[in-house]
Amino acid sequence: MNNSTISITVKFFATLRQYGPDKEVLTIPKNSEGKFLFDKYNIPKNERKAIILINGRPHKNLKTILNDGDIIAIFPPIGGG
Amino acid sequence: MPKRILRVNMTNLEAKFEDLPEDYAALGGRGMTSTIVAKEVLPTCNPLGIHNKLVLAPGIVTGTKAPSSGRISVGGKSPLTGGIKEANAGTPFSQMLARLRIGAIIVEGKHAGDDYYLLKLTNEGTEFINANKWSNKGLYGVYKDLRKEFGDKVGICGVGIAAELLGGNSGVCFSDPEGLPSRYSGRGGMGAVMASKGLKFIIVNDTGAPGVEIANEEIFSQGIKKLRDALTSHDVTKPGGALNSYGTSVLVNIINEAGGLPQRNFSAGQDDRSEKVSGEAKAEEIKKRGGQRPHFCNPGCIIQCSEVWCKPGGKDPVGVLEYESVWALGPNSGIYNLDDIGELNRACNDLGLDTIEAGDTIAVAMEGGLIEFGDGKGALKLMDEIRRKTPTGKILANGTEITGKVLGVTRIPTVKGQSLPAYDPRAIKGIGVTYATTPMGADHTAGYCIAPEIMGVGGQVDPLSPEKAEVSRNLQLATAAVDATGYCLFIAFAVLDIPEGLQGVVESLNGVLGTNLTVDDVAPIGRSIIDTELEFNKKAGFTPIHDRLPEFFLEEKLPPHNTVFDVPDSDLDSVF
Repeated sequence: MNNSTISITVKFFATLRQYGPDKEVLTIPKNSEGKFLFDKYNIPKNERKAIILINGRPHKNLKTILNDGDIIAIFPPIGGG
Repeated sequence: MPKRILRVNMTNLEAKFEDLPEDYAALGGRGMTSTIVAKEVLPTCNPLGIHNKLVLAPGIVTGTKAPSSGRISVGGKSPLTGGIKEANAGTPFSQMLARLRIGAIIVEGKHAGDDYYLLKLTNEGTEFINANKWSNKGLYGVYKDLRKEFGDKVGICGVGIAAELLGGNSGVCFSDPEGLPSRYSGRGGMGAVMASKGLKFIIVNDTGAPGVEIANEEIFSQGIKKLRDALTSHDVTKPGGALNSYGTSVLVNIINEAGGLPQRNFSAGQDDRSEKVSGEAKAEEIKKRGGQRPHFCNPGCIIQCSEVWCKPGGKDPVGVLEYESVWALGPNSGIYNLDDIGELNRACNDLGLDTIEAGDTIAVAMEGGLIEFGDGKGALKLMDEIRRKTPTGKILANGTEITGKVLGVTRIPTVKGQSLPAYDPRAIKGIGVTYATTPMGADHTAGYCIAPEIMGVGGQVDPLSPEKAEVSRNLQLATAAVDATGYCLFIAFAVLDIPEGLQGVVESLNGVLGTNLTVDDVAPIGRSIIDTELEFNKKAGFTPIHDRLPEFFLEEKLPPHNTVFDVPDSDLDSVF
């Protein structure tokens, strides 16, 4: 890691595990948006209606800028109860 | 044949059919049970005494071709909460009742003496049979025996050993399509109400039944097509979607990631070990050991979130391990082992216990020092205390609040005497508003704020924001209406997002009833049901101070967000 990169943890769940890892620590460019991860793992367009939790808080907007140390959990649309 | 009420008087073992009163014609499910309970049950009565009644009612469209609509509501005054109760389940039993044109079964009176009875119900009529030989036994064996005796086409409703103890934690157990005792109207101790009357089982066979009368076939077919399209296209409910692929336990990981999965009796909201008991891990294991996934709890379900968990080699099927059950018997008890959870769930089904109440009870027993957190085998031994009807077992069968008090525990997660489900209200506050204000006692299904707070279904709100009175109220009204239809609440995931689906639901109701309801009528229908319930509770002695969460949720910060439940009392009072 240097001044132009950050370290984040990314976790994929449920049906999205066919595209991304259960859990991986990544070094990515600073100021990357959430969308960066979808591109990196080639998530098909029709699977991008995902639920994204950044540090345990739900985010709808894929343009959210990621910060060093963030934990990003990515789920497909989910229900239950 | 018009729709009927079956009135079962246990005092003199008489079962009589009555015409359904005209003002009940458009009622079903929770609408039917709560209306009858409010009209016929003295709110101040002893729930286990002669004046309480047990009401069972299929929904309005139950028994028809409407998808995912095989729900049954069980109502009465709850021995756990002291208020009105409606608990519902999905089961072929409900579809059979509806096809026999039974709008409700009302069980009343109380049989003198120690005998238990079975009520047999067919198109030809009813018969009482002494049920002592099927009592004081586990329900897995008994349901097998009952199908041997009455045929494998019957639907079974029964109560177990916990109900014989008159435990506040005893559910009413319905058979799944394969006859397993795995489909529970679990909450609120309604099993004890049934047992208190001397009724142990109801067996139904709908051979030769006339079927559900449909006033307008065309509107009905149009409506169910719209609903079917919504269910098969929405990402949450569609075949191959998350719910269908992993079951309700698909929530373990997301609620854990959100910091709201209660661990070790609500002392933390997250633990990495939860992954081991996630829906993903369970689905893989079910495949490996030869269980079944997906599976449906009643024929005609499109969502098919159910499953059959079993021992390795496909042996000894348990039935479904729901999210709430896995959490209560798992992480909330410090247990992260699916085999232990599966056997605890088996014990609950076998004994006639609600899994949520049982898991919360085990957790307070652990905190109270009866066994250690994480001790799965020890927890099974506690279940055995109930089976052997020991004094400890009798305490445990009365649920979380009584067990906690007996053991000197102060962190007792209950509202109105009923224990909390699998979402910590400090990390997901809207669901806390529902726990506090629903007439049912802590119940997530009553107004499932998790949908907008975590899943982004039906809107998107911040789970940590305390401004949740309105979202909880709206969901509680919609839910009461859905609970009256006979549709599974999970259709809401699709119809909250797809307007045509909701339109289809309303058209299907109009098709059956011959009414002209519109989408705008849904919330007022829900409101009238909840008003009826609130009125009953008021007469039973409930006041606004009962609409509160236990103090520790306001005082102890929950990791990882380190937040407390900070919804003001005035907001809670504004919900209804």
